Amino acid sequence: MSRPNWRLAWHLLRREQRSGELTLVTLAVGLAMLAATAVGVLTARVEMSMNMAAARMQGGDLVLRGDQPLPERWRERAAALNVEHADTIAFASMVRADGRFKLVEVKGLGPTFPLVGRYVLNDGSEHDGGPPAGQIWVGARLALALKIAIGDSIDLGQAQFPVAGIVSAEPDAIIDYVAATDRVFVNDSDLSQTGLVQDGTRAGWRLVFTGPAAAIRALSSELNDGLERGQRLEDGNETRPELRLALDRAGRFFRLAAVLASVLAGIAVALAARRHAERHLDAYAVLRCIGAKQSQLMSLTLLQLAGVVVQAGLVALPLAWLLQSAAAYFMAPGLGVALPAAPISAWIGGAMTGIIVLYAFALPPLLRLSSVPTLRVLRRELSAPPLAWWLHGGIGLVAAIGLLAWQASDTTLLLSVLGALLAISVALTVLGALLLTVGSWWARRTGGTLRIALGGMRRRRWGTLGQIVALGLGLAALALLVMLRTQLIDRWQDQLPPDVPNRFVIGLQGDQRADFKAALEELGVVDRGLYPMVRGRFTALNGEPISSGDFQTQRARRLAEREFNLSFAAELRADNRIVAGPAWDLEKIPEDALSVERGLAERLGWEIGDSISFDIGGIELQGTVVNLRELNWESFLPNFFVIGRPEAMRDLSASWITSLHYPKELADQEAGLIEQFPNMTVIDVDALIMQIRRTADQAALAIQAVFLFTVAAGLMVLLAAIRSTTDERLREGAILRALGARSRQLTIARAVEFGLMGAVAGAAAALAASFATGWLGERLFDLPFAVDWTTTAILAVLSASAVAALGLHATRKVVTVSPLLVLRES
Amino acid sequence: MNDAHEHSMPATNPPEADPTLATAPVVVAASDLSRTVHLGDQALEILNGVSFEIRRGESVAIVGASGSGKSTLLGLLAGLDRPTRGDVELAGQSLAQLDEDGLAGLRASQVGFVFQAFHLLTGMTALENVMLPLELLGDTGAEAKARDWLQRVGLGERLEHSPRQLSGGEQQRVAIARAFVTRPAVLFADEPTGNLDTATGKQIADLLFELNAGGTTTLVLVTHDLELAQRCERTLTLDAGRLVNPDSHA
Ligand SMILES: Nc1ncnc2c1ncn2[C@@H]1O[C@H](COP(=O)(O)OP(=O)(O)OP(=O)(O)O)[C@@H](O)[C@H]1O
Ligand SMILES: [Mg+2]
Repeated sequence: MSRPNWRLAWHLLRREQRSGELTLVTLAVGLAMLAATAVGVLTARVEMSMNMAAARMQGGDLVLRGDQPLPERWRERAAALNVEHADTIAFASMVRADGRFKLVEVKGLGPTFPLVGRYVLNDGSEHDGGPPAGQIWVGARLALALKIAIGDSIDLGQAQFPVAGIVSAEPDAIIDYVAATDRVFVNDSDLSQTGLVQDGTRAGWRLVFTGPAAAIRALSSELNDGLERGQRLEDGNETRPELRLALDRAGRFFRLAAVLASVLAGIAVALAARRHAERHLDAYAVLRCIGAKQSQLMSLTLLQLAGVVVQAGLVALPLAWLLQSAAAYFMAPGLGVALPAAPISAWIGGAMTGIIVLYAFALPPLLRLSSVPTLRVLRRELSAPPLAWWLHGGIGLVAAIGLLAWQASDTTLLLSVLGALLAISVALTVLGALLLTVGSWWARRTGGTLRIALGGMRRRRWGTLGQIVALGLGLAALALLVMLRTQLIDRWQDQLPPDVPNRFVIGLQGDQRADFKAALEELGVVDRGLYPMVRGRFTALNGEPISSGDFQTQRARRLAEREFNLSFAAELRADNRIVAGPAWDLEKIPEDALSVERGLAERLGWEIGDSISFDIGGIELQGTVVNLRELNWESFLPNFFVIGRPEAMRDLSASWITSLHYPKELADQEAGLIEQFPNMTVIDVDALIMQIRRTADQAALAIQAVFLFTVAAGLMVLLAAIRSTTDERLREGAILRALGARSRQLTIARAVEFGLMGAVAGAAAALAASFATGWLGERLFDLPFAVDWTTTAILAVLSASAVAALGLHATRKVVTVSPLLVLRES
Repeated sequence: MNDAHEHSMPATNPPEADPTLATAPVVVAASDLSRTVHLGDQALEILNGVSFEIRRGESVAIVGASGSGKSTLLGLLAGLDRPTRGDVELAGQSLAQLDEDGLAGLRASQVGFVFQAFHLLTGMTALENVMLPLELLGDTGAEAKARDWLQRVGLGERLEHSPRQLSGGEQQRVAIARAFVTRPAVLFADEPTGNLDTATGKQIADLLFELNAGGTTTLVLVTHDLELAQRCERTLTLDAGRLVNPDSHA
């Protein structure tokens, strides 16, 4: 493009600025950018930090595990990347104390371990490192079981160590129901004198890393590429499902809000651009008349829009930076880690959203401008040829779907939102058309002010319908978010009631059950049901022995290698929802029936009717999958991947598991309980529950922030929708006033018109949003389907009054401005 | 297209008074111009077989009753609209052979417009309005020329004012400066004084003729104002879409 054109574009842009004509377009674009960027960046940061927090529960940001000593080169790589590292080794061995033997897990700790977190000893002292060379620490449970006190000696292999500490909390307590075992901790420089670690020893080596997020990411991808046999890499993605669910739901809500904000901003942009185009037909006709080529005008339009993008970006991006920084600042203490910086892609994504929204929604009406007939300078009624509907609708729709798909990165979410919006639009169009029909019928039978109002609505038929749909969509999106937000936050609060089970008890023998229940009763504690449990390894599918190489994903491979929990039951607990296959009815299902968790079945490729073999402590158990279940991971009740009929456990030696809420006040008695049942293991999940509560609280906070953006976007749509007919109303009002209509009459007429539109849009939106909330809640957030009638009614009334008030305000000039001025300007 | 001349009435009689004009080249030639519009299934003939020639430097008034087709004719002559039949030759170019961009280019370089409704761009200053056509042509000296022309129409002190801050007469002067600034071959004006009071209308007319006299620009104006029409060298009268007095000096 030649230089003068730039100059012209600049002139036109400045001109628009001066007249404030593009303000609403710029605001809408800015808001889309602001919402998309702030939400995108914050979500990325929170997700990364939550993963980090989760990773730190295993002692570092990144953990490399291996069944062989880990190669030196990774330590060098870490050092080069400015990443700290620490070594641990763990293996099983017998210890002897005071003549008693016990099988324990020995943990050898490198000099730098732990990188994050601390060991807490039972005297209350906290330590940045493990025991000094020549000393040993023992786990609290083991100390209890073997009656070990500080200063006692322990034999470990060929060496003997004095007990220098009793560990009550570990920095890397990976919360795994069954991994909780008795532990001793030694300095790894002492391991050689025990003679326990030699070539071929079965042990787990760990290399733990912490460092700046970017360096960790780099190291992580290098490690991933260089993984050898028997090695695996863990980051925070392997979090407990209870925690992951809370995170996923919050993330989904963020994305839903961002998507809705973009859609709303898009509608606002489209409305503002339409109005802008209407008002500029004359100017463009003149420009064409004095020799501007259509292509020149088109590039002018494109440049103008670029100007809008730059302006919107200049305001929105710094604001987004501020907002997400503030949100991150407030959320960091809760997360326990400083939030890592978001990848640059999150920023680019936000900016792109604004650009796409603008060009997709504003370009079609504005491009139409460049084809305005030049003859309009002589015959004012000539307008630009209407855009082919498929072009206008098509560009917007395709771009919007593309944008949403990219933003949502979640097909279910995308399709659900699109479906809901489409349904709402259809409902609004139908109701709007109904209002118009009834209104024009009524207009013929009435007089005075009401007739003016109804007549106005009829004259602006398309404008009115468009306004109702736009208003309704804006209101519906807002209502949707209000309701979903309330439900989500309620749900989090309900999910973890004060008496949520905070202890899992495993390893009880069948004959201890009655005693255990009695002991609990004495303490006033109630168990949540005792379940039999065996540990089994998956060995064959339909008679074909399996090997871990058969599985594609690392996760599936690990699942296949790992032992998992099987149980046996005559009835399934109510929160086990059967999603495929018949009910668990002992009368109707075969002898060898198995009920399997759906996710496990999917990952391991099991289907209903498959025959599965397990190795349970050397005994083979074979069964047929009859149904698939979904579990409620947030219940803190024992859950099992595989459940068989009670008879199937006859030959197996099952232990029993339960969960219970153990009140803090009874902390002193807990040791006594454990002493009474020495073979039992108690797993304390208070820390996990606290983490989930914290996560939910932060998520709720972030949700409120994101919610506000969306409300702003919704208001923008309302404003744009209301302003879309202002010019026409002004002209009409001026004529009516010139003909003698009184201001009061006109005001009432407008109030009636906007009130009616608001009532229809509001009622339709509230109703549609209620059902959409129920539907989306069920599909996306596992919330039970529910329609909240009170909120619906309140929203409908609020919407009607808000639209009437906003409408009256936006068109107040109709009665204040001199009719002459209006008529002269038009 | 040339055969159209033969069966049409001789539309132009070069004024004998000025022999130089008779030899001046033709800048606007209408041949058998017709325009039909369709209203529903009814075809309405707005213009019917209009032919004439206008030579360089001439001033021509198009007159006629309201609805007789004056504005329609002007639009066709300026290439703002396409005829149903016939052709216009403007500055040696057959308009029928030009596409939209070609027409735009021709308008930019050869044509100036003055309208009854002024049609200034309201967000721009007077100066910017006048610079606009030059900028469209890629002229780098736009500002100096625009200043000069505004000076010549007597608005040298109002360069930075927006059209909203100017009176109707002043707005029309800006429009005239904008029309002349590219030194067009033809200036088309549709009722340039229609929105102005008599005194101001006269000033505007004076300005138009003065500028026209000083240069080589041809003036084609549509008007209801008989006085204004009389000041033109020639008058074309339209009646219901037909040219009735192909050569009339009032
Ligand atoms: N696009 C169109 N569609 C329908 N009718 C048209 C169109 N263009 C012009 N007309 C009609 O053609 C006739 C001539 O219109 P035109 O504007 O040329 O008249 P005019 O001589 O300029 O009148 P006035 O002096 O009132 O400006 C009018 O009756 C007008 O209504
Ligand atoms: Mg006219």
